[in-house]
Amino acid sequence: MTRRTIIELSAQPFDADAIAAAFRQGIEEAGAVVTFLGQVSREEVDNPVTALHLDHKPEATLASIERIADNAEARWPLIKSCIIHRVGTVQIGQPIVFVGCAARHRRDAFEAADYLMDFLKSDVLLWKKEIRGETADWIEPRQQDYTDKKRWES
Amino acid sequence: MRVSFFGRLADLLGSRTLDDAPDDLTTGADLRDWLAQAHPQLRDPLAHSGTRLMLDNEITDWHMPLREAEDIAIIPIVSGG
Repeated sequence: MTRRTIIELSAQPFDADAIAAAFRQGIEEAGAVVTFLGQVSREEVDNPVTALHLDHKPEATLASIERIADNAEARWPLIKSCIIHRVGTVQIGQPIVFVGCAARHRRDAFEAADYLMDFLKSDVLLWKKEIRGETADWIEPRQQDYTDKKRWES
Repeated sequence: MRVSFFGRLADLLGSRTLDDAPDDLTTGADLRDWLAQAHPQLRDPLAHSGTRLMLDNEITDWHMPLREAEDIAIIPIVSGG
């Protein structure tokens, strides 16, 4: 079956509004369009994160996102979906991930977007480093990320 | 043989790739043992169960033979996006 999800890894900042507008084109049969934007947030703590760095292995990282997209397409009747993920260094306030899901009915679009984000947060072949001024730490998924993913097992 | 590293492993090594691994290493486990000796900064992360061997972009077991692989990589536990 042909994949209906547009997938892109972007090494440069992307314009989420332009991507959302383009995503809505040509899907008149969709009654629901859900778009989600994740961005690097500013922390209100001492020594806050100043940027994230996402290391990736291009072919394998893309394949890991394709597997998640294929599972979502098999589970919900999506008319179209889209995953854009940043790689490289992402500054505070910049988009890190865009997900769009279009379906005939809203529940399918909401659930598919939620599912995609839960798996993107835990299963994608990315290695994330939090940069805090002059220091940096590689991080692993939080327990909450695994818990979020388990919601979809039933 | 050429081996590539990602995430914290590349940082610890100070390089994305290594070209000095001997070509006669047979399996991923042999490569892991050689790396732990030749590059001691990798010894602890190589012993971590989350550190995996990738051959031709597929995560695989350490006992797999290396000879057919065109792309050999060692990856730490993924963080997700």
